[in-house]
Amino acid sequence: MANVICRQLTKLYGDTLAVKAIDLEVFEGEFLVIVGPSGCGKTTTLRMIAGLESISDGEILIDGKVVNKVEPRHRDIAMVFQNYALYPHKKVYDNIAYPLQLRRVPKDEIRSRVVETSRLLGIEPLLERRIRQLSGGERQRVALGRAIIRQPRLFLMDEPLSNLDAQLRIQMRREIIRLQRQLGITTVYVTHDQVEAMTMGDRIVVMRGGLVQQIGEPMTIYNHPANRFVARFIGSPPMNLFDGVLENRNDRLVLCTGFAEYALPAQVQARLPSTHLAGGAAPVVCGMRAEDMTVDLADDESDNHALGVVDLVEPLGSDVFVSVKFGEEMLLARTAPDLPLRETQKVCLKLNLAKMHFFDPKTEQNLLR
Amino acid sequence: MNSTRTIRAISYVTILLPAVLISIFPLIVMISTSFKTSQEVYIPPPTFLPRQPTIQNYFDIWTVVPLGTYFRNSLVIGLGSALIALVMAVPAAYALARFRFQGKRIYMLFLLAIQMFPPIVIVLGLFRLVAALNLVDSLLTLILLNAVFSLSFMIWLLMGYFGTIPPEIEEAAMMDGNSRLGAMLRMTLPLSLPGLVAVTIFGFMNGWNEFLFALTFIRTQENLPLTIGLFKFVTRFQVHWHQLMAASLLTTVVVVILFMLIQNQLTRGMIATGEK
Repeated sequence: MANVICRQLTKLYGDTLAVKAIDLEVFEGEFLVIVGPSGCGKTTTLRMIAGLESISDGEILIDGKVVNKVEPRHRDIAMVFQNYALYPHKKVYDNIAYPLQLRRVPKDEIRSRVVETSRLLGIEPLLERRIRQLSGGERQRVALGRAIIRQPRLFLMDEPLSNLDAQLRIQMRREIIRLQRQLGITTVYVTHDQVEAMTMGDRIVVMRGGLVQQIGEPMTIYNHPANRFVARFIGSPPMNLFDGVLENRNDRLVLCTGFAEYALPAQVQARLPSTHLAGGAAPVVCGMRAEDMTVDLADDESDNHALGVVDLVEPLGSDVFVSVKFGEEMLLARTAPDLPLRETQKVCLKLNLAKMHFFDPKTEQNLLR
Repeated sequence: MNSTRTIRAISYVTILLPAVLISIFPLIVMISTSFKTSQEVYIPPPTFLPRQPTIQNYFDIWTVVPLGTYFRNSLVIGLGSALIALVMAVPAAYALARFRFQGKRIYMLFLLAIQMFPPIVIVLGLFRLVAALNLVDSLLTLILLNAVFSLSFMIWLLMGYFGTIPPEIEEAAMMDGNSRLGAMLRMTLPLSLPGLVAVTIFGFMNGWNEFLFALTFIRTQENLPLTIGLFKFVTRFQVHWHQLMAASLLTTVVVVILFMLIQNQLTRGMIATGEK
């Protein structure tokens, strides 16, 4: 087990900044997920921790020691690659045993540890097979086996599930979580899939354009996204965003949107910066999760209600996604499956204002405290 | 469906068969002549198949000229130049396949350009160089020159081959405890074994077939390779066709067998290079 600290970590490719002075700490025994769209610098960051990529600026500390110039083999880190990177000319057994063979561990001990590891992963019957005879899921397990057999102080995983089909991905996701809890080895896991990030991570680092957008526990990030990008990126379906104006009417903030006006509850108003109370009208970007809105068939247009037209109904079985159109705006709401909804039907949409997010239109930062 | 396939097969055969016949005709004549007696070769009209086939020529050629020495010299030149070129080509191809560095494109074009030089253009300059180094009439000269002339093609081919091996395999080997060099030696090289064999055979054939440098730089009988040695069957008064063809056939068979072994690898390697 180890802890990792990245200080002002920077990576330059020619003139392009791939990673821009990020600060990051991975706690001992933690499962940290770095998530972001492709090209956000998450894999580069991971490869710098691994030692496969040189560090342009800043430093990486593992267990308090700067490892910038330490070769990968001396860092005591194991890594699982996206394409598994198994050794095609070796049998499954030798693939798993390889890290121990390189360390000249006695043969008997290697054998017992390979058997133990393969049992843990359910691949004991495959040990004598060749790599090309294995399915994707089996290869994934072999790659995991090769990583865990030497009990490294740190695990790095670079999108290990992205080559698996959807069913297998969910299964392997659970197995990796179970394995990590069982072994307690500090793990940094890179993915572009926010579902993996939410379900697997003790904490999540959201990256974009080489910068860290937010670090926090999954539910904290979900409930309090730091900015507009995180709000859209984390959560499925993405958070609804729409423009609005906050108007100060007798020290009460009123949100005016293209489709309705809402008087903000006092507790929401209290969390907004006081500058928004001082000015007459301040433009904001409002964010609303699909589950924080309720669709109502009654068409009484009262407070907190907006009348719209159902544009699309997407039943998922357990719940239904309804796209409701208000003039220019389109909002996606999650409803119970028993609601009889048809397209082009007029409905009432209730917003849970206590759950509403406000973002600055210029800085895109979350305005709520 | 079936009829179009038949038509296609027929048209292929009608186009390809003449081409094949034309190209293997000299080979057939060579084989046929090598089994004729010396009288039959000169009796008009010429016969296509030997009237009294004999394998005597295949015994005589070893005593009429020192064919064994020529074979040995060609082997030494072929193997020596192939191995030297291989040792130089592997790191060069690896660097080109794996690293980004300044002047990489120019270096690759430079390699191609060397390939385009006809050896005859530089043979005069080379002779002065070799003479100055006191290396005239030495097998070492032919080994080095042939190595150099095989090198650029071998680098290109190996570069394509290394490129097909995922760098992650080396990276995984490095995480598992190898140095960069160790990862290359333990992973990339064993995985490119077919490619390594192919380029080595290519280098060998280059040395084996080489004529111009051997003609220019070798003076004494005991240093002659096969390509020049075959000329010993051409004497001032007579060409010993029956023996020349027998010796030529033996010389060719080596190359044909080797080529058949590697032709798949060669095309695959070239395709891989093209894909980059």
